[in-house]
Amino acid sequence: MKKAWGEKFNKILIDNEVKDSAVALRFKNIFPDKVEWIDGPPPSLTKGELTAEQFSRSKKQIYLTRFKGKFFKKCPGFHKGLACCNYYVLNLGFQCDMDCSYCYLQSFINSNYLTVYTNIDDALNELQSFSDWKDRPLRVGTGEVIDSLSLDPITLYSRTLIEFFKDYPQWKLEFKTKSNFVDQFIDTEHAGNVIASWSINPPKVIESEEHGTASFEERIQAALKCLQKGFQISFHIDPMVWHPDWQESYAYLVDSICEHFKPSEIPYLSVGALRFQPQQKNIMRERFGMESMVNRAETFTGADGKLRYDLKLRTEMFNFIISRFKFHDPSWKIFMCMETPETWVDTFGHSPHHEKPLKSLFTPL
Amino acid sequence: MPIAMLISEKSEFICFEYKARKPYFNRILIEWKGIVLNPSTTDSAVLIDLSHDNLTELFFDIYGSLCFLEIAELFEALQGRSTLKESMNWDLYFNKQNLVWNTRSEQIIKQILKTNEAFKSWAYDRKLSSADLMPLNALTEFRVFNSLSYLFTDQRLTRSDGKRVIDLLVDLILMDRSVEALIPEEGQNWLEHLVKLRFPMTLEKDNSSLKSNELGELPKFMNLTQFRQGDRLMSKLQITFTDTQDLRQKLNRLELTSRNQ
Repeated sequence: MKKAWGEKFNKILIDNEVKDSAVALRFKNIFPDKVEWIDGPPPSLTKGELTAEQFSRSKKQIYLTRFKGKFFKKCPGFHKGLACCNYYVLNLGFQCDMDCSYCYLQSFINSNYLTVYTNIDDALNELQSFSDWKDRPLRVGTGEVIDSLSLDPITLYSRTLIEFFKDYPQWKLEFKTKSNFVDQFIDTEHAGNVIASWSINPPKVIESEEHGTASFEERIQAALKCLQKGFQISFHIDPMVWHPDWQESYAYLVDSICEHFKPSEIPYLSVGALRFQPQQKNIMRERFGMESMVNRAETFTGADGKLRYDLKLRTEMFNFIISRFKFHDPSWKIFMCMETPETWVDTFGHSPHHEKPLKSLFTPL
Repeated sequence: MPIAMLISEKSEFICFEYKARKPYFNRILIEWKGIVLNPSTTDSAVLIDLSHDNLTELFFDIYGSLCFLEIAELFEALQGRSTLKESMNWDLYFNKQNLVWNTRSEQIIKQILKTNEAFKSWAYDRKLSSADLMPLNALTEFRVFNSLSYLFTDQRLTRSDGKRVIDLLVDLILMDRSVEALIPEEGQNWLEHLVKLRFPMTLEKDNSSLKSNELGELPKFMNLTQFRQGDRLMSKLQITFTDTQDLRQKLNRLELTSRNQ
């Protein structure tokens, strides 16, 4: 994955209100010919749902602005009927410059722009207001509605956040990404509480479904680089995508991770299977056609209303991954993301609260 | 200002070629800048010139709430009348129908207009919404879809089953299934046929699970059935009995059977 910024974006709109922010100035320097200054929000080309074409175009148009709402939220996994792992999210923008066929942003983004919030100081002030929780094991991720690192070589938000989290050693900061951009923060001093994590899939799935992302090997190499500099690392094998040779593909993935990393170097791994809102199916089908493994999937409505693989197939896929890791080393710590307690019981034989290495993650704060 | 006159008294007007499928207001003919908006076969109807009124409001007053198919047909009819097309405010019109007008709505309107009368007629009867029709956006051509659309009526599909059929059909057409493969056998339910084609792996597993159930041979008074409920295969065990004594006996036999296994 190369930083070919020039080819990546067609237009950079900067709200005059934030024209002097550090991020705006960096964008201006990198894209001198593409910047347009505007007063207030850009004129919307549409309202409501975007068409497939508009959604694709929105990934190439950046809008820099000040965010006036709440940056800090509980993860959407905090949902009745799903096992919750106490994860919080800090949203510093929305939309993504990469293009995964299964991406859930397709179900709710209705803006024509990839929006980056320039007022990170306000986000940090908001986080600081939770300083009463300083001693609680809070986990904060920045990769819910925007990739944590794919634009970070320009925004450099990682450096600001790492600096802030030095004062909160009990809290953990997670950068979740499908890029391999880590050089921009690798030299920063940190409190040992920063996790660089990769959402990862076998090469076959990456090539077919995760367009514009770093390759499998690039993600592994970026993780190794972080590890060498004392950052914690993690992998999210999520969403697992069924395909005819899925066992072979996922065996390769597990074996590669085990070949490069020791369980002691990765606090925990998560696994999850393909899931999406039913209404998302339309735009996915329009954008990626039926050649996509995701669109060809045999999915059914789950208890939470999302389309998922058959429960038994999911359990089989999770069991395969977990037993393969445990075969390499029983001390690997793995949990399931956005799954029902029922799937936990089918896979582990008990609920997450009884899985000793993971108990702390799933205990309500 | 507006002067009512008998239609036969005025010779210079054009009729707008649109008729909503449902009955609509046409006791008085409304003329708007030389165009009669609500055509009627009555040649002695009273004609009122409401050219000073807002065209969008007039359409809403004449036709009231339209189903999505009718809106699509109105959209199509307006394309041929530039005066009307330019004066129509779709944003307002959709808003009056409690809908949102955007590029996606326009896209689905254009798609539904490519379907044939067999489908349109069924879609009108079942009052399909734009969301119900959204899968059609993925189709680049309608040859296969239109050649099968008679089945929507033949099979008397409900709105709910029809929505599922549209979704499955679009998937299967894009997966290059032939027309022949998509037609159910005589007497076969179309939805079930399409489900089998779309989910072969899961259904094969469901069937083999039924054959090799781990309960062993069940007493004759028990009946085991399996069915799919969303993302899981469910089993249902039924006991038939005549009275409480019979039930007690059968439960005792069941307990003995399970102890012996």
